[in-house]
Amino acid sequence: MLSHFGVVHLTKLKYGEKAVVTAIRLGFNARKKLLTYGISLGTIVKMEYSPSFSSLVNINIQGKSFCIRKLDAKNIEVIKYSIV
Amino acid sequence: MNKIALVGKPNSGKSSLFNLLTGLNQKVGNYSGVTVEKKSGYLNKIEITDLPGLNSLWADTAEEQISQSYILNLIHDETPAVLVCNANHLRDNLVLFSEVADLQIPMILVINFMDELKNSNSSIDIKALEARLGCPVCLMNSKKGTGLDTIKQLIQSNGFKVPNSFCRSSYDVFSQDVLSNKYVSNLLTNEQELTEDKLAMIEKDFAQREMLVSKILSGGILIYDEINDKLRKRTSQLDKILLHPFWGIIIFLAIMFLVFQAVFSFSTYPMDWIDQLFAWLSGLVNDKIQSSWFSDLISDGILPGLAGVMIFIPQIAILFFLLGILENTGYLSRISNISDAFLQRFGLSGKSVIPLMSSWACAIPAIMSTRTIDDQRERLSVIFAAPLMTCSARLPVYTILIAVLVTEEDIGVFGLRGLILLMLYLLGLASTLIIAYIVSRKSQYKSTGLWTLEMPNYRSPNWRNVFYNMYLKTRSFVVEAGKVIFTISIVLWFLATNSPKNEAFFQTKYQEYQQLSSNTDISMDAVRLEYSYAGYLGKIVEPAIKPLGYDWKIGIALISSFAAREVFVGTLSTIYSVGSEDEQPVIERLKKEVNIKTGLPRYDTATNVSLLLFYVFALQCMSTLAVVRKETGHWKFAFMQFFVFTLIAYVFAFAAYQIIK
Repeated sequence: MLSHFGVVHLTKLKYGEKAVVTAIRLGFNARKKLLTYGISLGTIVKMEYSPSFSSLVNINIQGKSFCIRKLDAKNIEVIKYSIV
Repeated sequence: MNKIALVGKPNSGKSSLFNLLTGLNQKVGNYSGVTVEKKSGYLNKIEITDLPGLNSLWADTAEEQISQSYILNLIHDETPAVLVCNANHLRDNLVLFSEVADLQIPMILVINFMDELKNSNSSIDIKALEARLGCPVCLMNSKKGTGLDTIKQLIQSNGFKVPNSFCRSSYDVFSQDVLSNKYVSNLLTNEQELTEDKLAMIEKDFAQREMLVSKILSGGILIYDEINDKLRKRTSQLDKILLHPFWGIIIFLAIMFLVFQAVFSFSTYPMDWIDQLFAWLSGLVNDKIQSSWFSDLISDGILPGLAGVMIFIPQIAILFFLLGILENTGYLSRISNISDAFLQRFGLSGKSVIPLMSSWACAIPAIMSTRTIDDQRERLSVIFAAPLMTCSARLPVYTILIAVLVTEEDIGVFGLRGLILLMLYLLGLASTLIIAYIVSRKSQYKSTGLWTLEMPNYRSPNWRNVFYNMYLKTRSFVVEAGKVIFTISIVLWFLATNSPKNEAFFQTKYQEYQQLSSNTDISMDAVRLEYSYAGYLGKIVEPAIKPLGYDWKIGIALISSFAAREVFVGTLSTIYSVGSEDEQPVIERLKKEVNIKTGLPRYDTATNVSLLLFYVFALQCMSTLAVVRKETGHWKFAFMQFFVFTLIAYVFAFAAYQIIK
């Protein structure tokens, strides 16, 4: 369940869209691993690629690109970032 | 100062700097007790250790924990560190720098890919950055070696400096009139100890560091022009094609087809040359050395043993050369990306696709390439299942047995023999995925939880790295697996050439066979083999293999082909006294062979199918076992694999023979 109005799952972002991370509903170790990749509350993420057939979403944090599974991305809530 | 450590994030160009500093003067081993690769080399008399890439000192994976533990020990050893950064991700890389800087060890910061920085209209003010960090900063282009002289000079003149600390003071604890710092002890938190409070502390630590790094890079020190980042733009454009649901898969299949064609076709001639070279050496030894047992040991034991190792060099070298190019260009990550959804169903991930596909050429380099898989559970599943994929050594066995089994005829546009071969390949693939799934489910290792895959920018390959990687992987195979293959080959030679019987006994038996049998081609070599220790061994195993439709002669071939599957064909040639090892005579001979008791063909459909199924599953390759031991760190895993595959092979071969018979 999403925390409040306007918030979407990370998987819902479209190509090139940017968003701010508002909640991470994953275990402690997963959250720690995301931290080492630069993802925490308030981080700006950019959606690079998320084809429907794939099990992965490709995101970009400060110019660095990497993939996580859609299953995990569904537990990351973001709010779209309007200033490009 | 007599040693230094190279630290950095994955894909920062750390290994490129290591190769530039040490040249080929490097050795590859494992960290004690674990199978994480340890690379060390020398720059003059200074030992340089290339640590596995890590994203943070708050270690997560097994490799990161090795690096973390090594870096924390640097404090006690007073060993300096060179931290390598990727210029394209400077902000992110400086967070790791700040973590290491808080250990207060002498450091140098190397910023790699300076050429790409210029291409993206970005710039770094090195002097100002050096002043803010408090330690030397060098720019480098690892592809061309630019900036290397400055780095070498700084290392050799001990130009390391302890950098300014970042968040160290927030870990100060004042207790009983003593001020102590808890930074290191906090870093050593293991997964089980991670609590909400601890995670909040780590989150605060990261937030502070990111803020401090932003401050350091402010005021024009880093000018990054995202809009004009050509490299990022090119990568995005290429990804639209290479990760496309249709074209991406077509391009992936085409590239893989080319890679394996190259592994098969380019290695044919060098493999023939190696074979001929060793045959020539064996002949030379027989001519020059008078002592018969000694020349036999060298020409029939040691040299074939060495040839058994050397013959794989072209395939391994070509495969690792091509995989090196794919890795260096950044395409390897894209292959993992597009295959992940399919492999997830079998408990694997996209990172398993290359090792599995490499197994079609040879399981040895495939098992070695599982080092790219950071999830231990997945890695062990792949190591366990990969030998079931149809490797090139199975091909001669399949070719001969299929040719005996069916005649050359067509079904529609397809040849019958080709279709059977395709079915055997598919059977190998299906059994690999099923076994991987079972191992993954039964494994005691926990999955690491969050699966991540870095997608580096596309760039032209660093040829130095490609060649070094190929050379080191090939050398590692020759030295490590070679020792075991060499020893077992000598043992097999001893068993096949020695007998408890004397020469007079062989002569009598030879004459008896000639009188009893219509087979006038029978040779003394076949008689000697029958009454050798290996022959007796074949007769000992005969009761066990009889339900599969095999006699003692096939038993010897099975035992000797434990060394390598392709030995099966050569052994059968000797046993059935065929002078040549050409395929045609062996096939004809096997077709004519009659079961003395029944009068029916020895290699009937039931026996043939049984043998084919046995070779689909059995782990008849000691090189693979040696490499599995090397990669997993113990023999137990290799023996269990051998036992399980032999059992599956036995059950399938037994069922096939009994049903068809």
